[in-house]
Amino acid sequence: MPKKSLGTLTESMFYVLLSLRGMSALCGTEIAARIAEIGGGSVEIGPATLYTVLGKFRDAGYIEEVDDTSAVGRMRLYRLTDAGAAACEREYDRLRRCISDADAVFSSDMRYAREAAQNSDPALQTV
Amino acid sequence: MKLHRIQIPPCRPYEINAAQSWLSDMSAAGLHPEPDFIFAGLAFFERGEARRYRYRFDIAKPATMFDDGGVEEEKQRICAAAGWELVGIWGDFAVYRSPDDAAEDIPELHTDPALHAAAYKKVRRRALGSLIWIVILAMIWIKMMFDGDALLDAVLGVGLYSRLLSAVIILWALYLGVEHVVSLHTFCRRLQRAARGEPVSPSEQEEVRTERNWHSRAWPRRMAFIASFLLIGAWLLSGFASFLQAADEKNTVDLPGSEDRLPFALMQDLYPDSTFSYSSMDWTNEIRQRKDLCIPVHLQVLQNGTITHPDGTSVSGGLTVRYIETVSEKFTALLVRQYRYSDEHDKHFGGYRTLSQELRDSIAAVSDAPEVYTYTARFPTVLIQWGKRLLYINYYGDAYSSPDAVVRAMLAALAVTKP
Repeated sequence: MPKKSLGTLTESMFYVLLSLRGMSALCGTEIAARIAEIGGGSVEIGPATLYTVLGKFRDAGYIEEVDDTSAVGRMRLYRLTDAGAAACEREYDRLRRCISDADAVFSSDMRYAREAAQNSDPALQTV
Repeated sequence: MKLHRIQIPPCRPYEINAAQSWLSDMSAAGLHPEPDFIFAGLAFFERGEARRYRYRFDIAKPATMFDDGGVEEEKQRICAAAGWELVGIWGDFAVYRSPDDAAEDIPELHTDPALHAAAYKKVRRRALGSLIWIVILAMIWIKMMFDGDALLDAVLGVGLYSRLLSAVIILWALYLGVEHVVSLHTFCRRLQRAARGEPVSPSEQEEVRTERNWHSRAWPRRMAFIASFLLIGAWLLSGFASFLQAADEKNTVDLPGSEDRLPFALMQDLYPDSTFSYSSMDWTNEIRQRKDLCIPVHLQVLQNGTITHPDGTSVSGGLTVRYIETVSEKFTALLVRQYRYSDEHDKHFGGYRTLSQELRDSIAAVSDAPEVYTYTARFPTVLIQWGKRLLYINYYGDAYSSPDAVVRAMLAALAVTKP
């Protein structure tokens, strides 16, 4: 059954996909802990937000539940699907393009600022 | 001030900032909500150690025919593992709490404003759907009460006050519905602005501060809660009281011997030179009287008998008379309009036919009443309004095929009517 694409992901959604990348299957608590680890403590996800994201990803086919009777406390385990991995990579490429574009703009801004400073201060002008 | 274990909430559950602030203050005072703390609109607390908690509201699953609703187990587990304890359900919301002194270690329940706002979509749709239903109900009520004959039906039968009180209940539900929709809309708008990264304006900060101050709205909210209960109680009681009044035999007296008490003419007045004798049927020849705040005088007279003329001929038949005096001319005019509607739309033998304009004008001249209607519905009928009073008379029996003749006789009789 074709799943509806979620379009642009929010920060929380992207970090959930990142946390599952390369992992076999994680429960909700482990996902939250992994996000904190990836973000170096600067990114945190609230439990209600996490549950909402997991629900959306499950409906979109980005993650699937793993049937594991030995799961701790009978919490559900989630695993990234191929569609979820592709969505993660798409979002990563998009963000990388944004950063690259921003780098170019900020670099040229800095160059213009340096040139303006040089033009206004004769001491800085090269002979 | 002593805080009680059972309280009327000082805010509605969709007034989220106020509700969260209230629960937090209660816990700080040593009163903690019991599990599933809301019942019949009241909040139940248990006394414990004073401790400050952060309370947060999340959307709960609505109950359906097949499902009790509430919060999924997996969600409860995830929230509990993160430090958020589910307290109970209040309206559309699941209430969570976490200790305030661990705020640095426990993330907020919701950390993504865009997703948080999107989660409210279904709740907003439900609130709007309910409001639309209330508006439709209000329009149906208005249509029935003013365009049809529902008000007349209530006046003649039972349930006038319960119908009037139902109008108040519908208006109150309409007000609450609008408040619910506006409250949710405001809350979501703020989340959407936060999701777009817009800074919080000083006016919005002030709005939120005001909303959190639940004390300022506690008294009106609690009075409104009590008033709602009283209103529903009055509504139920009014329906019951109407039935009691209708069934009260003390309100019914025999007609023979009581004619002088009546402010209008009867069969014996139609032909003053003839003699009148009452029939012996059980269900007739009586006066039924009622009165209440809106209708201080309400008489129904059923008369049946035989008029014997001097030449030996006789006319047998009966009069059904309603004499109603209300507290307002407009109310009486509405009843007159509904009487005409009812008779025009009633399916019966003979159909609805107005009698001659000449008759109508004659009656109007005699009765000195601004509103006079004469027609044949089931029976020849005269309907007259004098200010706050109305008189509705049918004649049935002999001479039925000549309604004009009967109405002419009524016309003569009305000359002695004492409005």
